[in-house]
Amino acid sequence: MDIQLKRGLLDVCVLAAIKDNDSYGYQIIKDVKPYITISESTLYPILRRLEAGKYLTVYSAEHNGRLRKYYKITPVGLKRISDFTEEWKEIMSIYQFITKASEHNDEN
Amino acid sequence: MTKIEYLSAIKAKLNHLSPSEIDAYLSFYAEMIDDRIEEGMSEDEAVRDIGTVDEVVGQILSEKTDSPAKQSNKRGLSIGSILFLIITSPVWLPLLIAMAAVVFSVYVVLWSVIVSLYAVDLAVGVAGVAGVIGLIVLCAVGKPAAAMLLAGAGMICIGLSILMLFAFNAITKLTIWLSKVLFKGVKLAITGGKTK
Repeated sequence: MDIQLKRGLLDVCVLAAIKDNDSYGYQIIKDVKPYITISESTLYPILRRLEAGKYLTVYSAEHNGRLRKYYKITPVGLKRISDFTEEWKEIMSIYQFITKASEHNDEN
Repeated sequence: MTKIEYLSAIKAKLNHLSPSEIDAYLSFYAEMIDDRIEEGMSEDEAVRDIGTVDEVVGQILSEKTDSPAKQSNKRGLSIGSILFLIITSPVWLPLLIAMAAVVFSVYVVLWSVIVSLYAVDLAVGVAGVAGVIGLIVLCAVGKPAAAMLLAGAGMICIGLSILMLFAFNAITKLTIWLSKVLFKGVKLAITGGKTK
């Protein structure tokens, strides 16, 4: 997959993983991994970037006697997800146009 | 590999990043390891699951070179604080110079003590050797009683100088340690404890 595209997708995937409930690093990786390759070392800069862009906030909470960082989506982050889905509706219709065109070409 | 070994290996390879950045990376990876262990992995499995040290460090550094832009100049001084420093310089500049002078003189004193100790040791040693030489000379001249006295004194001096050498070496080590502590203290006072 194109690196820029993958990067954009990963950002939104991480936001989607914390959309309903606040989550922590390892849980985000487990949730996202079935769909797109992600590792700790790719997640870290994404979280930093999203935090810097105010798409999410970070807080520490105690868990089993240690501190764990939790990530909470912001209204800006929610908007990013809805922007993404809107944009992809457009892309999907373009995709259909392209595939249809190539089918016609195959027939001819 | 244990968690601590793993994290310290990563830390060692990131040493050119700022301490706060390194801490952020390390606490992130520590949490990842802890979460895996909590799920039932062994420490070794958890570490292996995350990736080799080189993989992790490579990723961190490649991400850093990808987006170096957002580094804000935290270390730079604002115009206001520069102005403040200039205006108040008549107060803090003499104080700074005085402090530097005090630190310097403490160094000088410490080291001159060491130099004088070794000078004493050398003098006693030389006196001892001279005593032994005197024994030969006095024997040749035909004064055995005086020769024995001188030789005895000479032996005592040599013995003393050898014993003192051990004591002075210990004192020197202590002084070096002291001056290191002093240096660290001064460095900490200047940097305000920002650098480790």
